[in-house]
Amino acid sequence: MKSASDNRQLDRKAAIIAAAASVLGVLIMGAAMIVLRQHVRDESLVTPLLISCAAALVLVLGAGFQLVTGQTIGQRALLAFWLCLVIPAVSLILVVLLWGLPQWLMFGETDMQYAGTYKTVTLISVAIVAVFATGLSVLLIRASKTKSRLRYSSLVIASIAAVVALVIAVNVTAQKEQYRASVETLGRYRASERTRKILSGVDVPLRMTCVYTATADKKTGRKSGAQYRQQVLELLRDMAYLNDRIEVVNVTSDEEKARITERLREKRNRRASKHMKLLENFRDGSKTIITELRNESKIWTSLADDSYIAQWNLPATVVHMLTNMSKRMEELQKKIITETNKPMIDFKSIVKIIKDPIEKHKQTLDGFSGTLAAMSELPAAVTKNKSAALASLDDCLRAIEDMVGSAGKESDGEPSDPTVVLKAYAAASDKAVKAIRLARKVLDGVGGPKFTQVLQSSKYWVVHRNYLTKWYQAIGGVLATQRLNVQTVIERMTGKTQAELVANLRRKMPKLLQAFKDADAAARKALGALATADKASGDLMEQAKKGDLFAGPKKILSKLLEQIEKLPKLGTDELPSEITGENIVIIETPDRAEAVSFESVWPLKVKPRGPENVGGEQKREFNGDSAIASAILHMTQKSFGTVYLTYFRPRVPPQMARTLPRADIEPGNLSVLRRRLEAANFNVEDWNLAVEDSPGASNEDKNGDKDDSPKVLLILPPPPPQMPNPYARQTPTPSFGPEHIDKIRREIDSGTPAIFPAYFVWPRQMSFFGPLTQPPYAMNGYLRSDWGIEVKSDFRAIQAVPDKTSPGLFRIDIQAFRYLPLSTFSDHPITLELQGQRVLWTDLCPVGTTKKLPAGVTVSPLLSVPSGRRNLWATRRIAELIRQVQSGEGSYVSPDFNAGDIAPPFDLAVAAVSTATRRKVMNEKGKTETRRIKPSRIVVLGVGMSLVDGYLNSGVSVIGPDGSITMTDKPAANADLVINSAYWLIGREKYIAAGPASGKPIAMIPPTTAIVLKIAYWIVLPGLIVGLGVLVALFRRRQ
Amino acid sequence: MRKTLILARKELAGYFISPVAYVIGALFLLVSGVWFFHKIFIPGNEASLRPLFEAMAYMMVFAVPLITMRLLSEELRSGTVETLMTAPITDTEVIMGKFIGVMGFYAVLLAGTIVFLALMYAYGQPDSGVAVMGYLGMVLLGSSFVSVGLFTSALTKHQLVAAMISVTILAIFAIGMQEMVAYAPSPWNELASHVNAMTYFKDFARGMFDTRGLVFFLSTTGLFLFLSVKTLESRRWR
Repeated sequence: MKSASDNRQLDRKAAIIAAAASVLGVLIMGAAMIVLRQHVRDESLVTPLLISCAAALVLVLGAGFQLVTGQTIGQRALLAFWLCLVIPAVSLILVVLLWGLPQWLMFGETDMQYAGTYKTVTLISVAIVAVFATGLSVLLIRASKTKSRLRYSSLVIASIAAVVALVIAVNVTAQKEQYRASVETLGRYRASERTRKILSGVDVPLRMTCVYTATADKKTGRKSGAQYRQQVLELLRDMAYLNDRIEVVNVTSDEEKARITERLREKRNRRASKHMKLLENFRDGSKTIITELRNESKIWTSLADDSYIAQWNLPATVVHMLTNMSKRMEELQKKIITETNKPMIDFKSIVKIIKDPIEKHKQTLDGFSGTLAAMSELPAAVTKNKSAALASLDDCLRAIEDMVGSAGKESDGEPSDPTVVLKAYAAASDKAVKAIRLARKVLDGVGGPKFTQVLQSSKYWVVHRNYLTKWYQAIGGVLATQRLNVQTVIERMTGKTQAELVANLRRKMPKLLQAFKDADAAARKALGALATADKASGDLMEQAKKGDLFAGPKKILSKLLEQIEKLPKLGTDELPSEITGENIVIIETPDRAEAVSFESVWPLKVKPRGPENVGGEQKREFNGDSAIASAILHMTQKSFGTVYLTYFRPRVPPQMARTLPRADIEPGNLSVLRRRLEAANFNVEDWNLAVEDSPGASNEDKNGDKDDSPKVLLILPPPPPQMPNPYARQTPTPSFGPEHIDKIRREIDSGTPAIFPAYFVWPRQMSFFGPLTQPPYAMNGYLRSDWGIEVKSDFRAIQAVPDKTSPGLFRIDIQAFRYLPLSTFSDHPITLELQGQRVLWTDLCPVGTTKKLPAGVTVSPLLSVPSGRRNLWATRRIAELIRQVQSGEGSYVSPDFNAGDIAPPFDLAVAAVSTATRRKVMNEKGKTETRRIKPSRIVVLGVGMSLVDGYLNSGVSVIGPDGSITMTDKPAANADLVINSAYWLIGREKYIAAGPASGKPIAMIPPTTAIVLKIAYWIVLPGLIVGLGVLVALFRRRQ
Repeated sequence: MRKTLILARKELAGYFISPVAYVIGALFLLVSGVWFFHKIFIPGNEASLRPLFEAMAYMMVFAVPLITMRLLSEELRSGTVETLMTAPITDTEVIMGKFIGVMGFYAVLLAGTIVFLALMYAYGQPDSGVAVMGYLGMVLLGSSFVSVGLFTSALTKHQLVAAMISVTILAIFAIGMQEMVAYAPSPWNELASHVNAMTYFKDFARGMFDTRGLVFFLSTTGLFLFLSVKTLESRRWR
């Protein structure tokens, strides 16, 4: 029902035109949608799109009908409808023009070659919709009469739509033309300088997908991924701002994660075409192998029990082996199917899974074929020697019979002269022993020397549960012993005893004869069996000889192995194991992908020690800046070079290894530094001066190719010489000496830069009876002569707290004794960015220079104690000071510069450059000669002990004013000194930068102060405000 | 402009003679204080004001509607709006006057939190840059929140209804969008991150000046002030 007011407000003619145009417009859009639906690759989108069109049509038809019938509601609905189309259409045009077509507007099409077409079609169609909708909106406004309420409301709606469109346009433009600047002074929440430099070198498209989708688990106390996501996303978006080629994707559901995994899987599988081919060949080949192994097994099962090769039980063994092999192949097939069905195929592990068993199977089949091929010569060899063997057996039997006969029978009665009988027996026994020994020898060699073992394995080669030849050997031995007994009895015993022996011999002889006859029969049977092979066995041995035994399976196995050897190395091997993890960041370049694990981005925070901290939730700290930037660095850049941990460890027998003196810094103590160097895009290798002449020599030997990438030596202080033990005889162990220094010198002279971490060496027992002494720094001589640098490893830098009442007296600061905070770095490129960073040191030793530096050498300080620092000096009286504190004499100390203590200023780390091209050296004959050298650089750090595991990766305990202990962050920035040095040494100064900053925690608050503060903030302050309000209210009421 | 400032001063003074403003101020400081001492001001924790700013931003979703609900609703309910509309002052001046007045009170509320900053400086070494940008972010966030409150207050004469609508709108843009960013599938989460007030605010809270945030807060403020003007204006021809 239309009202009179409606009639006054609507222009009927314009209303009909607007309604008709609206219906026509929607019909055209619907038709266009039906025509274009074939280009929608994602079919699940078609139905919702068509339903939307149908709903729009119904709405427009309804509203149009209302409008035609003169209802103002129709005009408003249609106006709102078209304006609602104008706003997103304009926004979309802007977005497409500024950023390009979003992926979701390609409706499931993943082939990027159509992106341009989709973009053009989208722009044109959306522009048409925008223009058409704007035109219709104008038409609809004109359908209201001038100065009518409808006209006012229409204009208001249109103006609101225009403002909304403007707001969206301004915001969309602001998203593109963004300006960001961090005004943070500590640098806790922004990408570090190091990350910025890494990103500035990225010149390939990089997609970083944040997949923090893990759900919370109350039982284990695990938080959801979303709780950790914000900071990761902030960092990624900062990174995207710093480099236009970086795209950030936030994945919020497991379904999306599965889609990404599928996409990466497809991408990876496309690149790993040869690996995929191998899997295909394995699938087909393994089926054939299993069938052929089963067929072979049938042949071996059909062999008769008395066949030639059955005497070694070979058919049963082979059948067992083939059955097992086919079973294992079936299991392998299943395993491969499982592995290939995983979200991401781990080609590295799958190749290993295939390679190991098939290599083993092939070896087994080859080994068995070889054995059987060799055995094929056995029948002929036995036939050749059989007659000689039989003759020997005949002789042996005869000799035994003669021996038995010489002793006589039991029924013969007591001999009149037992000596005669015994002497006759002894003579016959001698002959028998000789015959037995000869027979054993002939039998042993009946198949030739190479078959001696094979013969023993034959089931016929057994008599009285013993090997035939062993039995002959044993019985020969027994007879020889008995012969000796008989001789003794003849010579030393009386007639009665001799008679008893004769009786005894007569009693035993029949059994002995029978046993011998059994052995003789067995030997003859064995000779017969070994000399003739049946046809089936002969055929198999012939096959083995020709190499045709198990030919089918072996051929397939060889082919697979050959294929595995030729597989190219995949660059994405790191991905599969990580992609299945939860809360990961996937980083993709056009040809690589890598996942940064949750544990790398959010490692567990160091927990303070002590009983009060047992149990409870363990906090995590954000390490995304380092972890993600490092991943980007090594994905987008080739390795910068190799850092060689150079150490001295002689190779000695294991029993001596424990007596070897240990160095204070072993390569095994540097795992944290090693990881940090790897993250800084260096390879880290070892160079054992005791074993190799040059760094990487063993790798070159293995690979045959020379590594030309830059090298940096990290020369660890060698162990002190072995302490002589006066109580035990000692084999002297090799110790570090001039020849090892020469190896280092040669390497540095050839241009290889080096870092020398040194440290204060604590006094130690160097001999059984001597006092505690400090072994000198073994590289000092070299550094002094070649570089003019002197490491004072017998001095330790200490920081103390001045006593306010007694000038010149200081209290040893226990905290600073172990964690000395000193970041007075110079402006040298290595340390410029480290100025002000939180670094903590221990066992610092001064590094000085000689009065006159060698020609061409320049030394620059890196870390120094500036003049004027009265509370920091270096002393070699450290043991004395400790004794003083421990003995209760008091903890107040003072430097004694007259006794040699070093006052500031002094350096703790230096860098040196040598431009010299010639150096005078002593040759092997002791004469001085000039050697050509290359310019090089070194860095000497007196902070070596601050770089080891346990210091770099442990939280720092801070003692509060009330004695309570708080755990603060580990001194991770210490490692930056080495990393920056390595960058400088290889000429990559560009990458020298400070890593993520660490903040200073809130200090300890005394409990009473905390209570007072809480009362003030929770009760007093709000109470005052409420009180003020009450007073105002009262005042107003009185007025 | 003069008329606007006169109206703003009147509006601001109105807050200080109303006990409700004192109650809101005390409540805000109490909740902030409890949060500060329980979650942030713990020895060993990072000395940063960022968590405090983030917590205060969420508190504003509920606090701002309480201080804006009476702005126009009260005028509509008591009928004084007719006086305003017949006075020699434009609708835009009315809205801007009220907006500036509320922003003044909002600034006073924020100033109350400086005591936390002082405490942090006393026991730690907070980042001054973060503090400055955090307060700038709070002001920008507050202006857009206040403009929303003003708009909803213009819609109805019932203060509570205005507050509820305002809380709903603000919760959608601050909390709802945040949840969408966290849990909605792509591209909806991307879209949500662009209209999520907290995305922009958190940049300020970590010491980052970002023109996107500045434009977002200023444009939404402008939009809702425009809507408020149009709503007020509609009373002339409705």
